[in-house]
Amino acid sequence: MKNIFIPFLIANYPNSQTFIKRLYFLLIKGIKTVEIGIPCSESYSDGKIISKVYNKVIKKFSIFSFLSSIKKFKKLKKILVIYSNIIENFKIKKLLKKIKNSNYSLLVVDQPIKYIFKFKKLFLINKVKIVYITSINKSIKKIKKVINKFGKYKLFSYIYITNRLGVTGNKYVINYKKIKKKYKIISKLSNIPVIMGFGINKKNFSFFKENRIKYVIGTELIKLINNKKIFKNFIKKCIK
Amino acid sequence: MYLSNYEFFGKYGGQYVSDSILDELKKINNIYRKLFLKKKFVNNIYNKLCLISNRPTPLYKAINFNKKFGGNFLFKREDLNFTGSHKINNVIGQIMIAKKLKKKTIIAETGAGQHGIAVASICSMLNMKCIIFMGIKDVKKQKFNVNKIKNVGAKIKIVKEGKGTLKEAINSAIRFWAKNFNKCFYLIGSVVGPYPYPEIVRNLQSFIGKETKLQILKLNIKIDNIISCIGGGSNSLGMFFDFIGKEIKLYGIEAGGKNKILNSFSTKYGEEGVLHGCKTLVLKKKNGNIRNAYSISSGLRYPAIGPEHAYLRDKKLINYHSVNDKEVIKAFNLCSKLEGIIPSYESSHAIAFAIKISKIKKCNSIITLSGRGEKDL
Repeated sequence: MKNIFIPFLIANYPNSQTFIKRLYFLLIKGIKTVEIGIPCSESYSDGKIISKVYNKVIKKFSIFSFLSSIKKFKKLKKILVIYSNIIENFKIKKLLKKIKNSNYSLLVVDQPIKYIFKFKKLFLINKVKIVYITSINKSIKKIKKVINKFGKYKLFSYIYITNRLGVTGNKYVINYKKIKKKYKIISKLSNIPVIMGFGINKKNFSFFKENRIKYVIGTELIKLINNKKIFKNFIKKCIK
Repeated sequence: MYLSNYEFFGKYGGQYVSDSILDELKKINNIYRKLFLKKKFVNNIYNKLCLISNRPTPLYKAINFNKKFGGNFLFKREDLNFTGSHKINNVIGQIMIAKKLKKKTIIAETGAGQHGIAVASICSMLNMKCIIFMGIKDVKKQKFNVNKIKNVGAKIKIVKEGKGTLKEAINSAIRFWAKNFNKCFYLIGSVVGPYPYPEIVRNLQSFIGKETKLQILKLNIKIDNIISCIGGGSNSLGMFFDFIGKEIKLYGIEAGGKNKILNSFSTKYGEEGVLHGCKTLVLKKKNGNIRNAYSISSGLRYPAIGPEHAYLRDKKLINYHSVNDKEVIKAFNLCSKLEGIIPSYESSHAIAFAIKISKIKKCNSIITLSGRGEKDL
């Protein structure tokens, strides 16, 4: 179960010290991969809760000092969830150099995979992986096309399938049958692990657990993160 | 109309959106190209604008301005369009794309309310559902247009996040669109957003420049300058596009606001960045995040500029300047008193700059009056 559950945290939230403590806790509990949201002022792919937190954290946030602060978590697989504007500002070369050889993947929320692959050499040199994010509504044919075109570079760490259209965190009715079916089909397309996210919470996460579908919980965790006890209990439930 | 095959303007533009929106953009692009390559379709839009929206709008000789400042001041009266601004030029064409895509709901963002009222009115005319996203700050400031939008039957979604301005309204509209693009069409009001939007809007607004070209020939005056205000840059690009590379000097006027920090002067203070689906010149903070723009006019309060404008700036094909709030108010009052025309604060930026350069050298200038100013009284 430790392999199946991927928690999403927001960099330096609720503050830099607590963030590191929570990350330690996840590491101790055997979590293999975490997603870390890099705060961005115009996070239009995220829902209200995450956007609000981003705007809180952003005021004192520096991406490079944050990356230095988590250098010690080298063993943990880290997916940096980032918007294009932040990459544009610091230049991808500098960013990739900073995270080289340290078990990082980049998930660029608002950039087509064809743009990201323009920098494939930099990714290869620095040993940073890429997460391909797409939605459950995308046809298998199109997903297959992307995997065939870019899979040969062996740069994909995960294929991230969003359970529905829209932004993170919104309540919605899960189509369990569709998720199960698509997960199976996409998993068979390649050796790249498939993860699912968006709208997964304490009410529905057991479905993913039971079906051994790799899943990300984001907004729900962000709501709990301030309360150490509740946060820890929830994590324990997820990996049990 | 010029249809390009490439999604970038030099290094600017592109489609910086999530994978799922990308498919929708492809559909929009296919329909857009199919329709706009037909002369009959483009003529049909123009004819509709003539019927509904008083096109061609006059190129008006501002005689009292001429007397006061010398030279010739010619106002391209986009304020005389049906809904009070140039925004309607773009609306009909985009709604036709939406209809081809079988969408029943139109969503749009608005700052000053001019795009909002144009979209709402045409939706009402064509029996389409309409949702307008507007920042709370603008809702409070632009009550006149808010009432108009409500009156023609559109829903207003008030955006309370951030500073509650145009930038946040676009963020919310994109969020809504990402969730509902199967049902609704996002009708972007300026030459911003992911490709093909900047090109669609520019092409539809280029009716302004094409008309002006013919009107100049009839007037038989040698024009020295064309001056338009810029927020995202739709009226200016629509006016300039057919004059690029010609002898006439083109001036795009941004909001200088109060000072070096409180402004919307992206062509000077902006850096390369990504905002609302495209790479362009963006006002940024040190940490790379977007700085809030400031302007006395809600329509120009946007922390970026259309990607094609950014390209034209780099190529030095258009001159970009700014005027400050004080100059804008002065121009607003002067135009009202001298000509009996109440221009919007947005257009007053262009007028203020025309006055400025006329003091250096008497010249013949065309100024785009992009909208009426009752909302700013």
